[in-house]
Amino acid sequence: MLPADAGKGAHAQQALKRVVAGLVRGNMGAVLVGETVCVEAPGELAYRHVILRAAAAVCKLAITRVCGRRAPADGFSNQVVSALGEAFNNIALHSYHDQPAGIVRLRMTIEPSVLLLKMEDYGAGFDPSTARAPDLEALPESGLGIFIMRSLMDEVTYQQGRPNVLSMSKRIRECPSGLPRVSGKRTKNGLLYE
Amino acid sequence: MDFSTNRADGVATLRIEGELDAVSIPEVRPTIDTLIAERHPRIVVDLSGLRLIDSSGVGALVFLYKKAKEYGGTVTVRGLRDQPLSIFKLLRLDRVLLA
Repeated sequence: MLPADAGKGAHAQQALKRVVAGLVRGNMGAVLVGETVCVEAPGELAYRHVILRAAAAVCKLAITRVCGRRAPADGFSNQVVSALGEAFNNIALHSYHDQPAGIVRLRMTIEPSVLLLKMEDYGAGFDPSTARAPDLEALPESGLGIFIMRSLMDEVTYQQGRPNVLSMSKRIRECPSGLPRVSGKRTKNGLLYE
Repeated sequence: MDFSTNRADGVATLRIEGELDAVSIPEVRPTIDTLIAERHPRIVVDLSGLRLIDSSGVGALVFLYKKAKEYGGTVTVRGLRDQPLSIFKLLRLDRVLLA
């Protein structure tokens, strides 16, 4: 069990700052607001990789805090990136379909053993709750994005407005490759390991 | 995303590397249409170099599979790993498309 303040504090803040600095060096519009990494990009498909690269960097930090600095982030990161990619597609292809693409803003917050994501846009919106579950036996060629999001994330909610807000969360349930969960010790760079 | 095609010994191989997603699909779609128009009896899609796929990429491969099946051809996918393999399993495509 992680301590209640795991993932917070000066060291954790420094680790988040390093993630943001790395994103900025990669020409991404990232800022740190409290414990939340914020990334903005135009809501066009050409900028999809910006959002996904930022999410992958935060995923790596999130799982490192729980499982240790040498923990691979592949499984957790792949699932989050897959879900976010579908969410970004929906905004670029549907929410901003009939209007000039506005901003997509992604807020990522690392809690002790969960990653919280909020994706905002100012388009027409799309409500995932109205989507039917696909009939996978029929090999559908479309309508799979929301199914992927719901399948890979623990919670998906949507609030239409100005902005539209898609909220998703994913727990870091188990450490990959049999690595032990950490007890809460911090290194000088803010990472947690046993 | 990079892709290439090779036709040899009655097999057409489409090799796709990098990311197959809503961004890159327009690049590869004409090649998929050409493979269908040529009515190859056996099409192999080599995804051993694919790092990321999304629902748009999956949709294009399912389209290829269905169209080939219509004229009696076969499509098999090989080399899947990591995120693309996870998506194929999630969508239960591994049972029909994997070699």
